[in-house]
Amino acid sequence: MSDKLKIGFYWCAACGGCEISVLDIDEMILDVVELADIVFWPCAMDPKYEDLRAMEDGSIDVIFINGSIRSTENEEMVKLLREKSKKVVAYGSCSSIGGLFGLGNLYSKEELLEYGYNTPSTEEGGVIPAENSKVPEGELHLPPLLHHVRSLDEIIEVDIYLPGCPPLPNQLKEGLPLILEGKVGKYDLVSQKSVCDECPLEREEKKIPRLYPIQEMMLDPERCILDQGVLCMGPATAGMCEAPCPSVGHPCIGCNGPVRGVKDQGARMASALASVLGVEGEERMEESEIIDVVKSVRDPTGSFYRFSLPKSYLRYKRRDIHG
Amino acid sequence: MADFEPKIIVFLCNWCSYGGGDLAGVNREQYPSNVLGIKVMCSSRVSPEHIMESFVDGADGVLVTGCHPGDCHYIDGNYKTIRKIDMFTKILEDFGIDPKRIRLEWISSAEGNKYARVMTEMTEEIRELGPLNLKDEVE
Repeated sequence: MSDKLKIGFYWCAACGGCEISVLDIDEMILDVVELADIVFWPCAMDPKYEDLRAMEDGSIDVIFINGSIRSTENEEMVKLLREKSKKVVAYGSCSSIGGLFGLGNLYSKEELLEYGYNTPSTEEGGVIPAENSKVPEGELHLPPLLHHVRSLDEIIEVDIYLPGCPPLPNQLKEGLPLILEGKVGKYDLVSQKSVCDECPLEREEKKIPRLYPIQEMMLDPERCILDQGVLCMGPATAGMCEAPCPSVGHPCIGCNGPVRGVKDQGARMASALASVLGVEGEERMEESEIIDVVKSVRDPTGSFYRFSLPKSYLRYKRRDIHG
Repeated sequence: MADFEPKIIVFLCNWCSYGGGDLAGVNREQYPSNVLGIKVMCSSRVSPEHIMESFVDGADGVLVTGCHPGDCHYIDGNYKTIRKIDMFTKILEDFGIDPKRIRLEWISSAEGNKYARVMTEMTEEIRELGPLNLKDEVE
């Protein structure tokens, strides 16, 4: 018992998918339990934060943290977990590249609260939860939101990155034993190849004259989705997932984040897309006609940065535009 | 803001705009020294990543220059640039950065005077906008 590894799981601002993905490895979970004891897992067990504080520093061998850092509670907890753990794994896209919640960075914290609590969709409009409130039973404290969503490595040092939304069973089956045995480096589990590299669909060398929303298209299941005029993030997204989405006729949405060594997934995608868009006979066209093609790209920021906004160059909305 | 000197990164295409800059020098054209030129083989070589990085590292404006449409040494490089810069300008706007901070201009190697004019215009425009402050906002 004593020579077993001690591991833990923690979630920050997350949907819970990463927690469930741990069980996606099916019977391999038995091998994991053979190798290690799970000492901290708020989703499945009932540990209190005090229990964690009572642990000795460095007593957890590997902690898997998923979710992005959205509130002061997340920030506090990951700092505490860093002290208590030898190795920190950024598990899933939210903690390694900021994740879906990062799109909230295109608005200010005040705008988000206003939209969430003061629009016609909310029943009792105008009541924004207070940080501290008094109830008959005592005082309640709600951790406030941070100025913007952050990835885990902005707060603490991360030892291993494992992207994916959530990490897929094939990634885990390969990665988990290596992580537990201490055989992977920081970026070893981020693929150097793009999703296109692994995609089984047929790509032709041709210009794409226009992009269409997916619901307007009858996609040919054999041909490249981007070629057929539907935005697919494959060219700018790290592989290792074995392209499950394009294989069944759905465009890649970029959940694995940029390939190893690339900082900004959205900028890469803009660059890649600008090179394949185009119409025949451009030479005889006006500049405004050439730009027309770009108009068919809907919401470039939201689509290109869907998962990686908090780890892009700019990270959140700036206040450069006045008036 | 009176003593604000803008920093502007200019990407010059090897075949046209760099020649244009050269000619401006030979002709003794006057233009501000706020522009820092970087020679690239083609304007389409400039990736949005380069522009982002320029901004993050302290540039107040970025100017991308290339051959006039139809004159590209690589046939269709500058058509890609048109689309790239247009798409990227929208992204910058979503990030709350003034789209005037990025500009695309065609300067041929015979247009030394245009080179000097564009550099002066750009510098004045950015001077009016003021510095781009990307320092981290604290909690």
